[in-house]
Amino acid sequence: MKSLERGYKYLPTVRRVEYLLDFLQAVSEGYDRERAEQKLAERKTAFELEKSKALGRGRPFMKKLKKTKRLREHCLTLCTHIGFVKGKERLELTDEGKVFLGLEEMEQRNTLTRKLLNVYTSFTHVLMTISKLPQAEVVLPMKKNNVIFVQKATPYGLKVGQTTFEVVRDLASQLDLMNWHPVETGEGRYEKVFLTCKIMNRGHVDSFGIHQRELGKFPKFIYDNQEFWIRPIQVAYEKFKQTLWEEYLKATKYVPRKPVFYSKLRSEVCYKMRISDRAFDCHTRQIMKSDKVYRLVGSGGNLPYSRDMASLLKSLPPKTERGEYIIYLKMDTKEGS
Amino acid sequence: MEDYSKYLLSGNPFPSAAVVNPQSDDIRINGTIFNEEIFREEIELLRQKIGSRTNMIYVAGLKFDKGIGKSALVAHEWRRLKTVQNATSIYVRCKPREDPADFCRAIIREWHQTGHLWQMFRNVLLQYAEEKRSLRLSKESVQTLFNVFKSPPGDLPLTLYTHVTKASSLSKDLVNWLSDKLGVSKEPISIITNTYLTHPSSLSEKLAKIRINEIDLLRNILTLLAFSGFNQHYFFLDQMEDAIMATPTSKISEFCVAMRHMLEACMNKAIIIVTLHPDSEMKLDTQQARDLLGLAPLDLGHRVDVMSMEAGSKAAVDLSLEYLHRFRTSDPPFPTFPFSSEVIRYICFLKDGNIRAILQQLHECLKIGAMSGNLLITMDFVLEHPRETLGTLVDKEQLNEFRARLKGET
Repeated sequence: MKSLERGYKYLPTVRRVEYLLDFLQAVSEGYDRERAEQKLAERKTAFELEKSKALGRGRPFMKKLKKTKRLREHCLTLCTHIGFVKGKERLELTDEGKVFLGLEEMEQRNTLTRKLLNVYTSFTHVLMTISKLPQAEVVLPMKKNNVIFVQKATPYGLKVGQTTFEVVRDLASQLDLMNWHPVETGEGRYEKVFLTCKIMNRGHVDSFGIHQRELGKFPKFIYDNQEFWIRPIQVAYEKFKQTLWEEYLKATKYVPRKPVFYSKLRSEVCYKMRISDRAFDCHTRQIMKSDKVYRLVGSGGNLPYSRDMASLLKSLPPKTERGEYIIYLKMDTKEGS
Repeated sequence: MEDYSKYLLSGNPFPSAAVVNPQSDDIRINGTIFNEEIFREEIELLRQKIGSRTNMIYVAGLKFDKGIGKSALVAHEWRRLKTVQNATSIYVRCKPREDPADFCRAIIREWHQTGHLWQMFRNVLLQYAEEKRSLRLSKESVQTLFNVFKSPPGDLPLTLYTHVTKASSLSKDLVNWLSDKLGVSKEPISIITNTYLTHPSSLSEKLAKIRINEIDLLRNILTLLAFSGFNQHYFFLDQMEDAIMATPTSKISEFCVAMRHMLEACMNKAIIIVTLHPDSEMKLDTQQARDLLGLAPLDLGHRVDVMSMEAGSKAAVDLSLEYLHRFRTSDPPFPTFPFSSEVIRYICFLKDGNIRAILQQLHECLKIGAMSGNLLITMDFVLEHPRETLGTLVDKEQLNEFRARLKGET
């Protein structure tokens, strides 16, 4: 990775898509720095509040949350780079930016994926490098230390620093391109990052017999003068149920109905099936609502206060239709109950 | 002041705070109003495990566990088992920071308060008198004494009924006799005999003051109870999750070792039924808890999972009828009067089948109806006054979903 490479753009530190959307919203309402920063501060506080309510964690009242100058600047850089915002003194949305704000969530994800892959070499580089590894996964240290991180990342062929990698990881997780979970190793806490999508070149497209019309649905990007398409990994509902049941039983040592942490089971299943958290949440919600074979129920509670995933926004569990956070899952077959 | 007479009710049948307290006189919260059909599966499983003398049964909450009816189920079974011959059924509500020693102390106190210990003492003393055939303590005098004092009195006038001059001497002889005969430990038993031969009603206070190994005391009392004809015991430790959750992780091991000792003391004599919720279950499901889980694992053989009602379930109507029925002053025009059954099911839907939340909302709803002078509580009334009757505004999407669900049933 050469930062001096022509057209190279440094990936700004915007870790959540929500920040980008909030910033665009602020621009669309008539940009005002203070207003934009306030909006971002509100979002940061909201995240902390959610963690606090759901997990008994989070620090919604810390003063640091109000400091969003840098985040606003990064959002501005990102939005300008991807062509959603224009102007210097008076910022305004571009036509693309206006269209983007009005899109459905899934279309927004696809558009943003396409933009990030085509604008940021580092984003594409991380994805392409991981996709070429045997299991399409990397295990890297979580502890903040760029020197050690680079030492561990280099053998995988990754040529990015820790912060850039984490930004790619977080955005790509939200865009259903990657997923990850922490792992304990003899050397401390590491993260296992894996792809939840297939990266197809023209050869793959032809061999899979993908029709041109269908191909248009997948985000496309150019890398090394070649065309590539991103196709999310999708699993059949039946296969998902079976895997969920197997992993649940493993987690409970084969005792049905024992509680397991939602986020922990989600990590196991997502890793095994190479799917995103969103896909997991969507399938489990469906089983909870009604399933002929399994009875799956969620339960409230608190995660134990240990240095685990609980402090991470990623661990935020989904809510039921009536707003209850699902901290635990319990499962059984309907036959067995 | 609300007037419920127009609803043909003597008062609001639904509790404002639906927390089960079996010791309360209020039938709305003491668990006597219970719909077995809602817990049919759980009751069946629990009775099966009690019948097979499972040493410890975990009644585990399943879905949004607070208020789904664990305590009501436990109280219901406790009440049922109270009627079993030659058995005792004890209900203890565990509190945060309590440990197994506290549970044992509470059980002994309950035995004392329900008169089981007094009855045990009577039987023991009768057998002692019969075997010793002493002129100082004849069997007849003991019988007369206990006929007069059917429950523990403040002071026992031993000299009035017997020729015993020193209660302490009799206590010592009695303890020696019991120790020889049953192998019970002298020290813990002498607390019972000393107190019951002098100031029987003060046993609870005495137990609270002295330093003693409560688990050991429980073990010895269980032997004495068996000797006096009480062969089976059921200990319901409701809200044990509160005690577990308040125990620091570093003390869980200690807690579980004590629980194991309690289980060992109860072996073949008593069944312990406890409630757990997922947080506490997780806290127990660790290596530190192996002492307890070795004897009573959290497996299918030891657990009964309480399911919550399905949101919008018809069972909510049946449950409401149980409450309404108890407060009827005369025959209503229709069973759920003044509620339409759709309102009850809508509340059940909104509360996701959580029994506590449903009962509390029905309380509010009926109160508002009574205050407004409205004769019927229909969906129209509820949707017109959602702030007061539901405590929220109406989510139209949810309402449509509810209606679609009802439609789907027909």
